[in-house]
Amino acid sequence: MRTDPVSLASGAAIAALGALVLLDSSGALDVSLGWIAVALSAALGVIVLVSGFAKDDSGRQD
Amino acid sequence: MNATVGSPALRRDTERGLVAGVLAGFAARFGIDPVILRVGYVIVVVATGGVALLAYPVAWAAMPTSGGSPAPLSRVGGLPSIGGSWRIAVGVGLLTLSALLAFRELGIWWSDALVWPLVLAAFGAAVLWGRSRGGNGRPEPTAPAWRGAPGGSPPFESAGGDHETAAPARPSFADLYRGVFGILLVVGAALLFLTSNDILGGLRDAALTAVVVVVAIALILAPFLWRLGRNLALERAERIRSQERAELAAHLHDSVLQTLTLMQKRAADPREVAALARRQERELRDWLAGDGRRTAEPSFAAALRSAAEQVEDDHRVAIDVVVVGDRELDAHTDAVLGAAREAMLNAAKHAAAPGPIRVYAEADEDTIETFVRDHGPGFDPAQVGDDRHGVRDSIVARMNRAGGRATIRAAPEGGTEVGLAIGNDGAPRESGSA
Repeated sequence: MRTDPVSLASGAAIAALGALVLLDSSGALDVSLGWIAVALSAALGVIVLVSGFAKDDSGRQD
Repeated sequence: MNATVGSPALRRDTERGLVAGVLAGFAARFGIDPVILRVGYVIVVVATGGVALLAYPVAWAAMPTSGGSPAPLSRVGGLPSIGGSWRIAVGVGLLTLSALLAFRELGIWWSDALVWPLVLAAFGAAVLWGRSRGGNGRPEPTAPAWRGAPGGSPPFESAGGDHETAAPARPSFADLYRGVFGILLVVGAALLFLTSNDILGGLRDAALTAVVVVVAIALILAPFLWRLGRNLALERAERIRSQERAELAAHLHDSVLQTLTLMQKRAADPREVAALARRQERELRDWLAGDGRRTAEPSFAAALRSAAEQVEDDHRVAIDVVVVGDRELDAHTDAVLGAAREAMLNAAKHAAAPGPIRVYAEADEDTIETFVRDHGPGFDPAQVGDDRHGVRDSIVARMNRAGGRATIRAAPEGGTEVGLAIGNDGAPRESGSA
């Protein structure tokens, strides 16, 4: 059993982003465009950061 | 997530996909019919009022293709392949941006006119400092390791040598990209600060005029500057070629012409003339193959050629040496070199007249095989007297002591062939000819 940390982090970040947008569109939450930008940049940052660390680890194994 | 080792990785299936292969990739990953997945996705998109549609381009950006192409997200910044350190930097930058936006939304904020230029300037300065430190993680290029031995037959050299090339150490496209990107960020931050604080004011028109004038002058001068640069490059290339020609002429004068003069003076002695020609041939081969530099590293091939050259000079005979492969000197190579030198000496003394002595050697990390063949009348080792130690002690016993083997036999086309073989474990590789 092997989990890919990049896929895991990407999936979690995108799921969280989707949940936020879903809550906003359903009316449960009133999320402004500014907070959407906060969430979007945070999700992208997490994905890119984790993929960067994963690339560094794979580089050391070579 | 229950990914198993045997299941395929999550990749876009561009061959079976309808749009970009995202859903086909998911279907292949989880073993679902892609049609079911597509229908389900359409239902989700309709149910969420189109919000779920955003997931498709995000997944497209994050997934590599089944054909081996990297994910588009991995090319953030326009570089063909973004390195791990760059990804970390971009990730940290995005998280910092997220934090700044959050502070802005919470009202913990000074002014857009101050914070954003500061952020841009800090980012640009970080890029420029990172470039000036040269910490791009690239290894230094290594010097070419030419392992082919000089003076041998060119076909054998090309078969046995490694052809490694060293990239010249020069700034890469990524370095240039980083430098320009950092400068643009800092300049942009300064302009943004000046503009947002209305400091430029009346200067804006003058600055715009200056920019237009500079661009116009650049457009006018561009052809001349381009031609000037091209002429300079051509002139430099011509100067390099001229220097190379002068160097070649000097070398020919110092070596070849002197040898030819010497050969004319000693034309009465054919063996002396042949020896001079052989020596000059060796020098020219070394010069051509090694760009005038002899390899300084001691190795089996170099030592075998050196021994052959010494026998050639001492006995005025011709010895053709072909070495395939090479290895560092050790006890095994010393034994083979000593025995081969003795075999060459015997051939030079007793069998040099009908033709050149031929030496063929194969060397790698495990075994060495060397054959010394002459075109003399041949001899029977059993008939050699007890008082003659050359073959018995210097060749056979020396190889036996080192754990190798020496065989002496009559060559099919006449003459004698001495075969020397040794392996790292003492047992030479089986060979049909020795």
